[in-house]
Amino acid sequence: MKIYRIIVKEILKNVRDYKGNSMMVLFPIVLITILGVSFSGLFSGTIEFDDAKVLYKVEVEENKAFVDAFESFSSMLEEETGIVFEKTEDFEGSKARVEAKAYSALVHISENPLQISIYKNEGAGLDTTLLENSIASFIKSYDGIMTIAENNPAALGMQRLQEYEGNVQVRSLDKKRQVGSMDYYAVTMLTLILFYASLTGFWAIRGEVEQNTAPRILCAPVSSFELLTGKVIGSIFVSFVQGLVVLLFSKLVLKTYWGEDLLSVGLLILSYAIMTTSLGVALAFLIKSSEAASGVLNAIIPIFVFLGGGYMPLSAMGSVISTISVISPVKWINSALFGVIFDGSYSDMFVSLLVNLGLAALFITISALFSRRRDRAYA
Amino acid sequence: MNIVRMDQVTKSFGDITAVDKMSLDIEEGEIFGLLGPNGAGKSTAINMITGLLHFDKGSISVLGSDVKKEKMKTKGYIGIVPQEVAIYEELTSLENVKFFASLYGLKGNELEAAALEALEFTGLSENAKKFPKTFSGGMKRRLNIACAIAHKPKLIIMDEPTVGIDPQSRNHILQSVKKLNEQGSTIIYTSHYMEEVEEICSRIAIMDHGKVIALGTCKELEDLISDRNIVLITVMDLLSGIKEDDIKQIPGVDAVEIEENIIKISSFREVSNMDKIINYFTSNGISIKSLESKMPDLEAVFLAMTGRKLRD
Repeated sequence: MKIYRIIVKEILKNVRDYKGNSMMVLFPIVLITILGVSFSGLFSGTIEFDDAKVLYKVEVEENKAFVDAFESFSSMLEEETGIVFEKTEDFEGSKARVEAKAYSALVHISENPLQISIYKNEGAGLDTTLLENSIASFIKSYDGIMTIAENNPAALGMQRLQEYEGNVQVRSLDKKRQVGSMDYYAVTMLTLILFYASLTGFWAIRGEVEQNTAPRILCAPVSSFELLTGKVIGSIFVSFVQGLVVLLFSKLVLKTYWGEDLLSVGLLILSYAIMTTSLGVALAFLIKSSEAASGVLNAIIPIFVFLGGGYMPLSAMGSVISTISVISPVKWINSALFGVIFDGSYSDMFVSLLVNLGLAALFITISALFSRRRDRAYA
Repeated sequence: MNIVRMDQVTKSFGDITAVDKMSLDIEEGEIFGLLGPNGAGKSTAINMITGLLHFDKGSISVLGSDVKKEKMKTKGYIGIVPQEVAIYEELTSLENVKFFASLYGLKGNELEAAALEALEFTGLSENAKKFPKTFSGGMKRRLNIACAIAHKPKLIIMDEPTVGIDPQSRNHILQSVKKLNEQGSTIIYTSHYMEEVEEICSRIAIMDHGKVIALGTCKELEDLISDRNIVLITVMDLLSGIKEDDIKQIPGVDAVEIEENIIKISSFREVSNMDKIINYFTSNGISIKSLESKMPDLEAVFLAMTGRKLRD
């Protein structure tokens, strides 16, 4: 009950902070609109699958059926998406051509064990992502077909047709949905502003000190666990709802595309809000000065957002930035959201969930350890 | 019955001993004044009673329960009125009181009724739905008290509850303190205003350097310096070059307090030194506007005991 009261108080306190709320909601909406309009030219030219060329090298002696399946699959993909597949025998030379960006990727099919490897250049674009996801689907389908072949060979013909068509259908739909500048910035500005939600977590703790209410709360029969839990949940709720307001406004008013799977998008945003809010809470225990903590957040947020492709797509920023970007949780949430929204791909979603919830667990653990010494924690 | 018992309590911050082997019994039904100059250890003592600070040695019990072993239980007995106004500007008066009372386990209709009663007690019923940012300093102070009493604590600790407010609000608060006491709460009261302490406190402890140096009723404390006389000299000019140390050199003078153009001199009755005191002023070319001799009061006790003014 006490936790519930603390949660309600945190929500009320934040909801009535009209200045803070307008910053958290209006700021990203304005940015989405301004950046979306300003960079519309940049985005209209970036996703052009018709020019994409992919090399593939086959080194298979025994599993010819697999190669046949792949070639059948690649020709359908070529037909549907415009990505051109060229067979090559020169492995090293092909790799060099991919590195030189003459080709988007090199697909290497080898056996013992039977596998497909994809070589791509750093900062590869959406065409390569599409290729990777399509091949992943192809492998999954192939495994499925082989299982059916072992158990019910009669169904094989129909299954093969359905599986391949299924793959291409999905890609074909994706091809029609290009990432517009407004769509891009709707995602990245949402993740940018949700990073600033760490300030909500920070002020949930430091606000008690600055408003002189900490001694009164700490003198009450409330455990450190109840206090921390109430504050963290209340702050996460506020940040999450602020994120949802931005999402809904951009979807309904700015008509940006958020994909078909809003549940997964919501789940990602929630996990991210949990991480950023927990970061703010931990920082409040680690750094006593509000100015210093705000300085730290204001310094790290733009860097992580930049590395996450928040301001410009990572593919436009060169190989070094792309390599370093893995350290930014913003990179993972953005990749995951773009994957789910535009590509129906969930591989980055699980990485992002893991990163967000793992970091949140770390931050909460730090907070829990520090909040046990109440006289120091809220000094 | 003892509401608070402190036994040989010591608390240090690094090399500084803030509270040094402090022992104190506060009886049920008392309004207990805790006085001391800044840094005397009052706040540290209060924070240890409320469980806000850990102590190094000794023991503290509230209503017979050890504050270390039965932390949540003892916290439940206490209501705290902090020195700084501790309320949320974003919550209405009623929401503020309800929130803090809910931390003591109150809920539902009981919570609502208790919060409204506390607001009525502090004269804020009509402002229950208003936000404190529109309140005067006095109203905020009263809300500060309402937040501490809604759960009907057995012990209320008030740390300078009347700082910076108008006389009307101060009077309201002092009457509230008396009424709370009549309703059964024991009160620990700290203030810089000696007249408040003299008016409402049944017993007073004077602290200095982390120790209780004097304890008793106002009369008992004044009797401690009944061998002294207080001379109040008002001079014509502010800061007219008077030096405390020079006056202390006069035989029989044991303490001097200078506040603007009023010089308060504590002197032993048995020493006849009035001529020397007057001579100090005239020989230094300082014109005396008025001179008054009076019996020791609590302020004089404090000055004599600590050698400092309460507001030092």
